[in-house]
Amino acid sequence: MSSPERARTFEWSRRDFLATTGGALAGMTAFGFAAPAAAAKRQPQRGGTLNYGASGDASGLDAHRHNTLHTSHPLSVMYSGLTDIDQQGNIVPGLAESWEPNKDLTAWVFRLRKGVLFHNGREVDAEAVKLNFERIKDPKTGGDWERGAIANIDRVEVIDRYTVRIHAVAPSVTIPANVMHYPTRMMAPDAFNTAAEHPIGTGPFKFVSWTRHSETRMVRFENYWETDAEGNNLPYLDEIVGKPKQEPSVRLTALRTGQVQFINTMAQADIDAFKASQGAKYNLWDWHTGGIFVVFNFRRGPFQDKRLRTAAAHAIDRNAIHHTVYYGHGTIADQPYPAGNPWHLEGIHSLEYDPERAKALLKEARAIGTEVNLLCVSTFVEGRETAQVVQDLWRTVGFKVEVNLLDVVPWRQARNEGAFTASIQGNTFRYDPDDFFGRNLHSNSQYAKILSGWQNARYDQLIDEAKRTLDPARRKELYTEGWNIANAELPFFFLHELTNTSAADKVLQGYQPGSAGALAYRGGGFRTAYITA
Amino acid sequence: MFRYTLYRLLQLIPVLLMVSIFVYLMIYWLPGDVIDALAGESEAHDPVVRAALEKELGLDQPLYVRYVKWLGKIVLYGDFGKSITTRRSIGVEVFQRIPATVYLAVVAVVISLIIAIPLGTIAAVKRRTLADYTVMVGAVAGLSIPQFWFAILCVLFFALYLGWLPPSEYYSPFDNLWLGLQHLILPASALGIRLAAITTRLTRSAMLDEINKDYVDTARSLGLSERQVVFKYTLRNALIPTVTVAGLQFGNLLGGTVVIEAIFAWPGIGLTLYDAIVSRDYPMVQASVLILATAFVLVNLLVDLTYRLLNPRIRLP
Repeated sequence: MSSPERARTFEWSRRDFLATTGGALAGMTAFGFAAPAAAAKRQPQRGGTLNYGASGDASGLDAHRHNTLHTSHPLSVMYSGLTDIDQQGNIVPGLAESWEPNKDLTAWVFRLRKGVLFHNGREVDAEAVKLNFERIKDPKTGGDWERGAIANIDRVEVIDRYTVRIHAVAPSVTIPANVMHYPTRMMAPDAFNTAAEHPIGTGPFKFVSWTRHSETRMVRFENYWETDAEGNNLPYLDEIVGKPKQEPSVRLTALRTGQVQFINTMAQADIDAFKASQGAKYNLWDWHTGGIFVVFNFRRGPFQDKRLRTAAAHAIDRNAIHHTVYYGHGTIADQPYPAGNPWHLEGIHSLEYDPERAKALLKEARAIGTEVNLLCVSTFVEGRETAQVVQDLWRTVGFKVEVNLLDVVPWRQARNEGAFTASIQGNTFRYDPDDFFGRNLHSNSQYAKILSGWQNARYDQLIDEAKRTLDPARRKELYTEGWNIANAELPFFFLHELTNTSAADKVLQGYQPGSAGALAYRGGGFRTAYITA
Repeated sequence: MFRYTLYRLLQLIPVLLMVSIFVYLMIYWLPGDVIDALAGESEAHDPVVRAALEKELGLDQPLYVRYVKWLGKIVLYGDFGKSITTRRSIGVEVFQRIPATVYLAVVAVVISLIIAIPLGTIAAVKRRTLADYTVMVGAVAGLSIPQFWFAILCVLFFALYLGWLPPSEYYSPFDNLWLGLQHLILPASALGIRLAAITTRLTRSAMLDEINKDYVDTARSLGLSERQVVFKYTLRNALIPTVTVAGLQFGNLLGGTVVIEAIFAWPGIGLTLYDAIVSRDYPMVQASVLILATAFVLVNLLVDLTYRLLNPRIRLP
């Protein structure tokens, strides 16, 4: 975590926030161009091919159907959204130059940048935007992740060729974050039918070919609209070749042998040794991914008893998880947003490690030997390792714990049916806090219903109010009160921050990941990266 | 032999029919369905979303109707349908990947035989000597070492420390033979060395069986050299079980190289099939298994035909 190039600056001002709501549009342009100015000082070279060793690959090409992770999947750099992010994760202009809400926050007008083209030459206009939203919202075509991101949106209305009005389901300040390119990606409507074979986006790189688990090839889109500080067209690279390498040691070997120049993650166990031995030859960046927490099932089972939830929380030694699973990387966390992030909450009360108190509570509840089915999905490496530590800690105080490790589909089925006592769950970074606090715990959220199933009227009221509050300071107060209620009632018990470390050969210049790992963002990432000779 | 081959080919029809029914039912009985996979986090139990997806994918029809339609399209038009996950043509996807898997499997089996036949023969001929014990210890070690660990160790040693070979990736030998071979050596060796551990033990025991037979004593009494006895008579007979197992190994490799494909980013059919099972992409699973089953039966037919080449006294039914 001590890398000087660590991409983790989360300072945020009111002006930044206003940019997200369309209230201070003049300030936004400055955000967008800060990073290109820095890139220009480095005298970037045009051209070159970046071989990218990716930890993951998309499951398909249709960007409305398949989650294209903007922290790992090479294909993600093909797309733009109405809004974009900057390096710090602030929402800044993308395909839309500006936006503003009506008074009651039920409708948002987005004004599109003129002359922006899809990769097939079609102009991005209001009709294309409308058709994209309609397609994503259609359950027959839109993926659940993509559809869930715009669940706040009721419909899109075309005002004129370059203006759309987005009608919200309920008053909402989150719309600009919801229409960002992750995951609301714009594709050419005239190529919807061929999106599974040859997707057409609007981003800095355009599609050439994809062989699943083997290679993704994209070339520079010569008509991409974004420029650097000197007015030169971005991106600088000619080509990106994504090479999925699932196994961390093979990925790192590919970097060290020059087969790739960049990898987006490495194993926690490798980070310190690699920094010490190879730090002079490679640039490294640590970035925040999200968090990991325990979910207690309120729908059925022993954790409906608050004394048992409290005992289980007191039994967890987060420090043991920090060192055993994360090798000391990242931070012990009692909330989803890390220190330094604008949405980090102060004054959070979280239960401390106290095994004696846990034992006493179990004894008081006459619940020693209570059976716990601890659910975890097998593909979540940190999750299953954390589950093993939690299993051991809970056994120590008197629970009888079985870890139920399942593949994705049966895991989802178990969650949907509530067939678990507790669950180890992770969250990815959310650019608007409502996407965490609302989606995970509000009693109206379908997702919250399959997690803990907790319901709390005061919590719901606070989250609803935060969703229609423009002032970020007030929003933080509301989330703080809500999160403290959750920490007392324990539908969740937060454990640890999730972090990743990217590495690149120093031939790759002009690159820095977004603060939450985005491969490309306004004025940075792969858009300003270049290969030195 | 022609009649026998034709008979075996006709046998394919009931075998594949049974395989297709079995696979269809297995994927149906697995916990969780494709709607759980597609509707995902929060909408899998939303009846509107479920109904829309079921209609879109034809899952609102009875199981037997879906099966007959699926089989009918394959038989009549050679159409395997589209993957529920990628929405791409299954035929194109599978047939693009099979050559990479066959290429890897053939070379892996050849490597295993190149290692196993000489070592197994030496171990048998030099029974209870240091050479025999060394070969057998090596074979047991080869069987005991987990494949993924051995493969990663190969990558670290040959790619990182020695720098002799690239760590992963696939190049078609038809595009660039030299690059194709360079990138093939590690994955094929990682597979082949483990296979060799099995076939070495098998070759040794088959050789020991043959060496003790009367015809060997007769050959020796006729004054033939030990080299002639071993290579002209004993080994040829001993190779029959080895060839049988090598054929089965090849068949298994067609769908069983998932770990190696994942480690070496090899665009084969194994990883595709695994992904399809995990995501309950049943048309992809069915088509892949059907194609692999066909290949497996054909490989075994080839093995049976090879028996006759090794020993002309063998009569095919």
